[in-house]
Amino acid sequence: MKNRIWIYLLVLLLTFLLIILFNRLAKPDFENPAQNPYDLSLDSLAQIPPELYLPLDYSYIDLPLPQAKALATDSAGNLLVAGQQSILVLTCEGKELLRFNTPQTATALAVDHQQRIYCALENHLALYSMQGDLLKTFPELHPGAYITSIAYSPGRIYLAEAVKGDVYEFTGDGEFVKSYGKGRDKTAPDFLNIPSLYFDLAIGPDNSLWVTNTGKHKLVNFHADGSLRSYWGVTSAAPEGFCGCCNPTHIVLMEDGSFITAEKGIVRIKKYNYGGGFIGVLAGPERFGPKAVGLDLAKGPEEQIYVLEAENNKIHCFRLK
Amino acid sequence: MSDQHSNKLKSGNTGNKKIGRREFFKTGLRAAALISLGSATGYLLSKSTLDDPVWQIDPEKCVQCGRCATHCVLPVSAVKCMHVYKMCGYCDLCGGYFRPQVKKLDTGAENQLCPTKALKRTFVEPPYYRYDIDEELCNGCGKCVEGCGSFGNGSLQLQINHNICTNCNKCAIARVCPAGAIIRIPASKGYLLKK
Repeated sequence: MKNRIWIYLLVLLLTFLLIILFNRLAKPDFENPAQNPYDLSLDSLAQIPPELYLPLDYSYIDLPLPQAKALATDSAGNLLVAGQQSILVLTCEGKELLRFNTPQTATALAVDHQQRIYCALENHLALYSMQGDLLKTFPELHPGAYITSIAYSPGRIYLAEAVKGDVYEFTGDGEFVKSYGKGRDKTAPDFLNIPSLYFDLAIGPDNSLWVTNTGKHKLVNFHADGSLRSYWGVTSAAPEGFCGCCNPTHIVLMEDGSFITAEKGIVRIKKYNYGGGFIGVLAGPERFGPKAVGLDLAKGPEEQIYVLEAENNKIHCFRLK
Repeated sequence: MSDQHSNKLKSGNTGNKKIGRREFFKTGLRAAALISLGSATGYLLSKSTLDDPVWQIDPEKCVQCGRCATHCVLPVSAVKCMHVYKMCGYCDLCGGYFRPQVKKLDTGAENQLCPTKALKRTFVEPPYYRYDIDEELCNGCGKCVEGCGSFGNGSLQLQINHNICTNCNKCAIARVCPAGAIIRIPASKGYLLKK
């Protein structure tokens, strides 16, 4: 009788252990993304063939300013960074030269030939000296305006305003000249379709204005009178194209008229020739953190390309060989 | 007999008796006390129902792992994609609607990212398109949310629909959510959409 009780107990224990083991094995591995039947894998899209990478020198600067919003360079090669209601001036090696406060965090920066700093304070522009003194405040564009980029060419200031998707042109004294977004055919390439707060401007070597038409994956070039001069851009997830809702997020033009572009979604920095022909890739997603989005670009006097990765508090520096 | 009659008359007259000031205030006070007690009870009851904790997804934490679609106790998950139209760019090439690398931007089934075709695309005017969610078809897999977040503005977000959710004491999805994105919030708060 006693033995029988022991056998019953043993059988019970074995059953109990088997149930535990079965539960363990049947439990899905939650850490494994393959367990997700609805996984949208972007890994294959993010793959860039190695032969597309351009030879370059690379370095980076750790940024002593969290939540940076905008990046610019001056003619001396210093870097200007806006973030947390201040402007930081750094040497190209990252040594801090100056820091001054602004009433709001600047959303865009540009430096003119007199080394004055144009600073976009959401809906209006402010002009500062290189010592941080406020020289002038421009009137607000409209109450809900959000300036995402400033481009300076001698005698002209251009502002990209993302809420209405318009570009405003001012004289150097702040007198309004014209806007570029209104009255265009909505199907035309120069109708600016700006779905989000990524809207960039750049000035070409011939002082003409280039605008990112992010909703159409195009870069648009305007004549001085505001009419369409040219445009380029291909919609594609392939390395030579732009994809997603708002790409390229940022551009910069080099002295030879070539373009450097930054993208979000599939985070890439790429180079195109003056006609929009794809040349190669400077950096792919592996260079940046997983949260990198909207990488502001600036160029140095020796053709350095600076990339602001605000999410990682870094300024990446590329110099093509 | 006449005494009885006079008594009846007396008792019958009591109904028409004038109420004194003191009596009037007493009755008024009692009525006011009753009304305020009733309102306070009603208010507290409604408040307690409104502030009962309910499950909701924190879109800031959500990683679109797909478990909302597969682990809800309901046959079709109570988690649904919701669209914050204010954030949407109304793009032609919508990362939440189209599969990556589509050849044509049209409503062909082979171009759509949603496995249940729950996301509807409607032409507004060139170059804008509107995207709506058919809640009957949405299973909360979050594939469109991932596409929208990766390429777009993140206007598509997963939320638990309180009209469908049974508000289980121990939510089956919350137990397996790898990001800890499913949290308890007061019912009065309802939804946690990014704006």
